[in-house]
Amino acid sequence: MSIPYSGTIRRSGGVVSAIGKQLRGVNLKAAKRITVKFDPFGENVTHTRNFLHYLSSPKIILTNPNCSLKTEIVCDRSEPTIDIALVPSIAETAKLNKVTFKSGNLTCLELLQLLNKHISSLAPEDQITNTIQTKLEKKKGKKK
Amino acid sequence: MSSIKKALLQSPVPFLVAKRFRGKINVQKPRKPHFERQLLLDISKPFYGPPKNSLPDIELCTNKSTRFAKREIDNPFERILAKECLDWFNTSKMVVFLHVNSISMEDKTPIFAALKKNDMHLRTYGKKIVSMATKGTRYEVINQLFTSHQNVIFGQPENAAKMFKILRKTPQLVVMGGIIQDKLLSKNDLVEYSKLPSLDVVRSQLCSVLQSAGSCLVGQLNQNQQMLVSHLEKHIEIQNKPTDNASTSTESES
Repeated sequence: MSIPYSGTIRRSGGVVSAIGKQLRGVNLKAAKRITVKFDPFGENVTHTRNFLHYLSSPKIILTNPNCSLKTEIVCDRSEPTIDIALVPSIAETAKLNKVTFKSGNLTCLELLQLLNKHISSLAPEDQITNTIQTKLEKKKGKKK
Repeated sequence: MSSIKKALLQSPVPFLVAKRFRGKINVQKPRKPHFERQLLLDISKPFYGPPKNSLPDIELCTNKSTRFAKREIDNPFERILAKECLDWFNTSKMVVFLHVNSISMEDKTPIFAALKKNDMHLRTYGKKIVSMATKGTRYEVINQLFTSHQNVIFGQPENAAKMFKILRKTPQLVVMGGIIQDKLLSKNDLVEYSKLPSLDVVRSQLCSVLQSAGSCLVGQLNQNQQMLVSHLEKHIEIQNKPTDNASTSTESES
């Protein structure tokens, strides 16, 4: 009498690979402006700062060059927040104006997961543009 | 040595030298060994450890993995870096801490160069080095800032305004706070400090404020006399004017 198999076949790679997986799925096309506000002397700002560092990487900025990332430093011991203002056309369809994360008690991974859930899902799909055909390709087509 | 031996006469030395000849070997009363021989014997004695039944169970475990236990290794290079960091803290009157977003060296180098031209130094130190450097000193509170990626600018307080001007060009380097003349300032305080005029100007303003009380009193005391004098002068002017007009009219007539 054997116990049926339970558990995973593959082991997880840890927090770092989970963060990497989320980062690969980030799409900022729906965001117009991201403002990250934190107090540097606060105790719970590590994850916000790490999140900010990931968001400012060139690969993620390339998904939407028009989205501006702004960092604000406050000195009044307030909780760290991340405000994302949506692009007006998408704000109309989704009936949201902006999304706010209160990141005092959220880890970096959770922040990225929420970002993907709320912002990346609203990103408009890429439209396939007509590619220019080279002469060689045209000849090949004609021969066929 | 061998050449000296060749010159002197050599006595014949046998190949084998006898140690013992018959007789009983002395085991029960061995003679005391030479000090150095005794040293070597003591060093090479085998060590067997405590008996296994007296040890607690945890030490008998054969699955001890040293991977999870972080061994603290004393690294002399880290000590050198920590000393260098502390020297920088002590010699520069202005220390500014920046939060670093993702930035390439291509974009960072012009900032580094611009700061260097203005006698400011942009340096990167890790969390461990800084905590080692500031342990026990008055800079210990800084460790709270070193949680993500950060850079430090060391300089003199006169260049604060220029520093802000240079850093405005990169949004990736964000000022978090700073130390000016042993006082920890927040970002807003730093901005205000950079807007202040130079020390001499401020001193002159202070002098004028201190003098203003006395000069105000003097002015008020003299006010009445001065008003009287000014009225009299105006009166004289008015009086002189009609006589001038009269003299000019007579001249024109003639």
